[in-house]
Amino acid sequence: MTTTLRGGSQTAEYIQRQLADQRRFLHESAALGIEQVLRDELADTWEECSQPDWDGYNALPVTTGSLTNAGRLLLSLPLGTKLPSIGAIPSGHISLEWHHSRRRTLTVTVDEDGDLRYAALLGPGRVCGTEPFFDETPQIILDLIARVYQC
Amino acid sequence: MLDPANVPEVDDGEMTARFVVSNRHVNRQTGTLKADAFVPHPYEELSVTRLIQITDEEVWGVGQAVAVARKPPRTLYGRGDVLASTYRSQPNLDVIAAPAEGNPNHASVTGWPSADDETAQVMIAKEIAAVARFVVRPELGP
Repeated sequence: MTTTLRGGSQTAEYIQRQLADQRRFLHESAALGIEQVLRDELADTWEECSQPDWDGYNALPVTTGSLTNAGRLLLSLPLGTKLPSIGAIPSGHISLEWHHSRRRTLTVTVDEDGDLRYAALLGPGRVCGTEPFFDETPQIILDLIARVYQC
Repeated sequence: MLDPANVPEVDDGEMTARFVVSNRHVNRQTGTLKADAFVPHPYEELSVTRLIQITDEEVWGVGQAVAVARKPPRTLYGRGDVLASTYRSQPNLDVIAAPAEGNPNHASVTGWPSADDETAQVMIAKEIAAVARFVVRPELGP
């Protein structure tokens, strides 16, 4: 199909429409990637860590609330964000690890109340804290992810 | 293994092993051991095995015993080797001999922040993981 463009405003409109379509396509592709992580890694984590003592040292079982919130957090990551390695810590909370090297690494744990606890090593420095999660990834978490992969 | 009747104090230069019985503690993207493996929750002590006067076979035997003693039995994936001095370089942490039945080489890393302070425990665990050497169980290796 050929699209005929008349005038500058129509051209601009056409370009905007094309860009919007491409953005939607890219977002859907990225969403599929995250859905794959949700399906595979979260499911694996649940399967392995939903029973008491899953780590051999009396760990608490992962809770459905933590799992659900981790899924919501992953889906809230902006397009193009590197995906973390998903696991769990012995408190029964899901952990997300962004790891570039031994001293450029970030762990975020997600609990059933929606609290995000983060701990990062950034070169010689370290950063840690807690942020509430309200369906949007807190800016400090996004900044830390970016800093982990900063060369 | 150490003589249970004559267990020495833990030296700074001693290597210790933390057994890994969950593959969620290994980052599949990088093959590195996560800090998660060193979080002591629900305790404020971390269980490790001293790698002195012990053969490699005995070390893996102890790890295997830890894994199969669980209900249901777990798979031993590997261990995280860390110098005692590394633990001691963290505020308040110490490594003390704590011989256990069947494992006279057992030790405890004491002085962790309260189990209620998850962020503090994970922060220290990340410092430990950053220098830990992940040793894959030979049967699982390449």
